[in-house]
Amino acid sequence: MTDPDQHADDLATAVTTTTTTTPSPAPAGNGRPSLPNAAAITTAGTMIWVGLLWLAIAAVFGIVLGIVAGAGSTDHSLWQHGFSGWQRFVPLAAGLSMTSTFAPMLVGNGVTRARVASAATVTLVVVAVAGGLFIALGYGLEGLAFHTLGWRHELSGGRRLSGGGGLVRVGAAYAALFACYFASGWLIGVARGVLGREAFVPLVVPALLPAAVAELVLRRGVTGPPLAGRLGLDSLPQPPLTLGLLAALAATALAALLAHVASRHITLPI
Amino acid sequence: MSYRVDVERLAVRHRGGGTAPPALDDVSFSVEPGRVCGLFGREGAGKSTLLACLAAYRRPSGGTVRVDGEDPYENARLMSGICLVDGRGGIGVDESTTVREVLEIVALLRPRWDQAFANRLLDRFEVAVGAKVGTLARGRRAALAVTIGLASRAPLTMVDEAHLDLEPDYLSAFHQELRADQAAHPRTIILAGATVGDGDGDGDDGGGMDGRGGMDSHSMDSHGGDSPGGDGGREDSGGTGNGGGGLLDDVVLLGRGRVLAAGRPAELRALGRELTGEAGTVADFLRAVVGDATAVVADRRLGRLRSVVLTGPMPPEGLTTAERAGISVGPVGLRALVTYLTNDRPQSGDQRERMS
Repeated sequence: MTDPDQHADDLATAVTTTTTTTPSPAPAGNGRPSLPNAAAITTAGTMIWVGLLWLAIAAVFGIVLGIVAGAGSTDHSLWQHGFSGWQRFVPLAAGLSMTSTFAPMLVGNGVTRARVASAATVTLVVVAVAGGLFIALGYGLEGLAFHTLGWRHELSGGRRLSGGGGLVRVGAAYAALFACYFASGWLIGVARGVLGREAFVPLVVPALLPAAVAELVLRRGVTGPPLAGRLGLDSLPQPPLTLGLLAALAATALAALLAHVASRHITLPI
Repeated sequence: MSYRVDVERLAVRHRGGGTAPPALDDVSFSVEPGRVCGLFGREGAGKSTLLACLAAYRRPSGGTVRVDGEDPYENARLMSGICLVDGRGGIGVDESTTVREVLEIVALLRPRWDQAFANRLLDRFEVAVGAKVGTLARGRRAALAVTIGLASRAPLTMVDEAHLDLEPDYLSAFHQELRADQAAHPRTIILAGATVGDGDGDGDDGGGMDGRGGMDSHSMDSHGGDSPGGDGGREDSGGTGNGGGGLLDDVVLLGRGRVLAAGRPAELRALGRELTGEAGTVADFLRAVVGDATAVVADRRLGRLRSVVLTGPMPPEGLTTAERAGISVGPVGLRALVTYLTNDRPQSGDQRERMS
């Protein structure tokens, strides 16, 4: 008598299949796993929830501003202290979702990992630019409201935004900051997709390097992360904004390149 | 359009598996273009891992996978023509999205997507397009999955047990739709499922390979019915037989990460024999006739009677000898054979003793 498995191996080699069917043309649909379509899915899928979140934030900001105006006055930016600083974590979550949500969705529908990575890059740019605009718009509207109410519009340390140029600088700095955070989230997701649920954890720290670089080089423009003053970060030397922007963009580009390369090894399901 | 599938010495080790046995080991088989292949095995046999390799969801640890002659991994041409769905409503489907949104995403990415066909299927399966995927009952999610699988019309379409979650009526409808659409738009289809189904007509009442039955649940006289090597046609792949002819052209049986058997359903059916007779006579026969190429995959006793299921070639004179000795020789239905061959429980010492 033989072992059943060994015996089954013998059976497997004993039988072959040979029939071929002549194919007939199938009606072609309009779908294509192209970069524009993949990027449309990642970008629209991200901007829907990010946009709703921003809408909610704007509504809450308006309510808070109304309450403060009704109760008295303030010269300190509400937008800076309560609404803009923590928003750096929104692109971090969006970057994570590129692998956790969109990679299975897209690869499962025939899109290559390389194309998913390219689509994620498009989304990174859109989220960063839109985020920078949103933050700048918040400061602008807040400044207008403060001016109308006769309040000073001061940021931390008594700094003030100098008109349109100041808003552009804040917007650009936030856009670069958001790009770095998005890249960090993306890298964390890719590490999880490649290494699995447990093994990726040690890579979380190096994956956060782009975000850390942004925090170090962009504090002048964005006035630092939440609690920056209490953590003593405001006292660190700060490079000029242009240099900070270039450094942040370089960190983003390197992270995106790394994510592109590593994405090719993502195993599904994640 | 149909893709040919060639798997050669495929091996897959899971991440961090250490010294654990590989998920797949030395797996080789081929599926010709345009065929419907059933992939069967118990839970953990490696079915999903094998499909993941074919769908380019993961790289093999060893061996090769070829779809339409090329490695599908990161192959843009092939990946757009491969569709794998599971019972969760499709691979990568986000639970917070609605059915309509899921279909919009698929329509945007699948070159051969037929929206009208998808709408008709969802209507037939009574899936509400406005419902969120996360709120769908298991059967409805399965219906969404098979709808995506069918309406994508991918040259290589794979269903990973999704059809098994369909309610009986819908499973029958799925078989009908698959047959009809396969005839109109030939493609290669692999159905991974836990049961072979009633279509082989073996009269077997055992429970397939999903752990709900197993060979112990078979009665001594549960086999008999069709003759081995019968119709040579297709087999139903699970659930209700609908009398409209079989569904499967080929069957691959996996067990513990290896191919146990592969071939046409009728050919596989012919590989099994059930011998029933007085226990001593059966034991004498086994000692005298059964050689190394034949295995006992099931062995049961009921009073003085003993019934054994043999797989493998048996010389005609052996069968004559058995009948002359008063041993009844009967065929083994495909479903029962699948159950026996994929039963991971090792042959017990007690069983071996009884054979000697």
